[in-house]
Amino acid sequence: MTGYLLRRALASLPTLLLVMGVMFLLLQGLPGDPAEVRLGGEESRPTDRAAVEHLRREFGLDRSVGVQALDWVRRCVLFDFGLSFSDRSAVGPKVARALWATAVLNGSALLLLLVCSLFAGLWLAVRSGTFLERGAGHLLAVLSVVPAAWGALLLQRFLAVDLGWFPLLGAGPAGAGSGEGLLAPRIAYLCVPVLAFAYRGTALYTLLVREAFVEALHADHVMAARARGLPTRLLYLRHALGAASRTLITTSAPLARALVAGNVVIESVFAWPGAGRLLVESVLQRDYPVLMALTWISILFTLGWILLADLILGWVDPRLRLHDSEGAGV
Amino acid sequence: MKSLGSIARKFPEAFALALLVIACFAAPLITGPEAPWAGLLVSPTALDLPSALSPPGLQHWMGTDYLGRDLFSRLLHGGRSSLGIATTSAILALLLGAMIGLWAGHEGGWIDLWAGRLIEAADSLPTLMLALVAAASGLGRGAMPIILIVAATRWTDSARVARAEALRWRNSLHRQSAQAAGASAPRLLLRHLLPIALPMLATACAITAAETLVLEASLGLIGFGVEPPCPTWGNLLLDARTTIDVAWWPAIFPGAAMFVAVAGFLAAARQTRPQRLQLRQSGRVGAVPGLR
Repeated sequence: MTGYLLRRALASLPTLLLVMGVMFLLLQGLPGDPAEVRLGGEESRPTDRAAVEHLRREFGLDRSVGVQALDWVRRCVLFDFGLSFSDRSAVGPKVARALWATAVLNGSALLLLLVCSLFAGLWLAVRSGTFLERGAGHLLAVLSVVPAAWGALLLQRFLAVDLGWFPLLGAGPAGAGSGEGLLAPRIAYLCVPVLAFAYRGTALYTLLVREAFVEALHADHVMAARARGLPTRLLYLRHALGAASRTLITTSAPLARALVAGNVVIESVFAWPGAGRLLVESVLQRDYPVLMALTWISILFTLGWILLADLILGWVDPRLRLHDSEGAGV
Repeated sequence: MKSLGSIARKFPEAFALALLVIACFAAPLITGPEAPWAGLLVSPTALDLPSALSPPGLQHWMGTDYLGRDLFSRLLHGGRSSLGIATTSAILALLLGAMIGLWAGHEGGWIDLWAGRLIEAADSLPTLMLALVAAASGLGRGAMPIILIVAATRWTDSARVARAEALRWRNSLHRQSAQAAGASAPRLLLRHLLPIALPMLATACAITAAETLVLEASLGLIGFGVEPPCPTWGNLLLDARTTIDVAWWPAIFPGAAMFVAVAGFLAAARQTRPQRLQLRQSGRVGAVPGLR
């Protein structure tokens, strides 16, 4: 078990190194020096060379590329990302706040997605072939193609402007921090972004789950169980749900990434203070420590999730364990 | 001879996309005073502040934006850039991916091994992030950086497909006979392998085009797209976003056009697949165990 985990972790090491390496080289090679951006703004170049040199020394940018690279490795391993270039606050809390906001938004969206697609998928599978099911299938197929950038704008316009049910943008009543404040008004701010984030995935996953359910409900052992007179409820719960959860788990990697990566589009449209917005800001500000921290955490989370998904899959579907003797004890 | 109507009924999404492409790329012909059919369309950058944000009507079919620019004209001209970016980068990605994939699958051995590593590695690069960094870093905010970045990161889909096709084909009777007949390596690859891989490659290419279209729109929407005066669907969405509380029409139309285009690309991707299955059923590719 431990050996299996270790081998899997080692196998993802090249990916980690590559992505971080490309990020590092990209930031090294691209025009636009963080110190100059801080002192001169976007357009004008600063005239005070001494100040620029001083800031470069403070940021540690005057060292050789190799030393900087090694420093990044050390920082990633220790999770110590130092101070942000843009406002000299500690990177850790700053990134954590953004990640929390993103996790609240995306977590609710994913929850909605899972619940809706499981129930809708089962409903569609049970009513397979009816007029209503075909209509819903077409509707979902259309919905799954609607680009998120457009869908977000439409939802914002319709729910927040035309109906006026929800606030237009923002993450909570003005002035409220991330921790305090009443829950109810905050939820109102959450609704439209969550819908905008979830509708496409829900449509896609409902169709996937329907396929899995239909397949499961027509399997021989389910037919046999049905013939034995197993109550329909148990049929769905024991057999169909297992099959559908396998589909969901194996296809969950992009969802997991979405959980921490932050959706740049949604967060920009709704002015949500999450990781996506922080990413855009830190790109504009050449805030290397924040960029590194965001990239690093998002990769770690994705790879960790894929590993976890494999373990859960082995637990849900024992057949898969037999193929890997190391994983047999899971 | 099939009538246009029957084609439209058989492939509605692709037909709509084709109409959209024709409309967009014909737009310069009817725009501005020097065009062959002058005056049918206002220039996409002509300001008309008094009629800013006027709703759709006879004068402006899709209304005007906050600077009074005609949205119908901007939609068509924007489509040229957006569809151009999407198809160019998809084709570039296809060429790159097909070359690497076919070659790796055909050669096998350590070349294939390293190509596989390279595909995995390129796959883990975040496209949107790279595009953001490039746009912010003064590399220019034209169409070219977007095209190059998409091509450099999204070639992996075509490469995977091409490699899989080449690997299946490696041990086939088809290849053995072609080789026995004395076909050279380039001839083997281009004359014999490429036609087999083409339908699946077209599928991958169409999907990349759809993805790029969405990527360009996302970049535009967050203000990192092609430099603003140039209309693209992403930039139109950005304009719509800033006036979403007072006007609905700037958001509806470019998004709808994008939807039609994405649906068209994805439908094209779906429709290229069964052709290959048909080929295999008629025995020209040979039955392949383990592949549905």
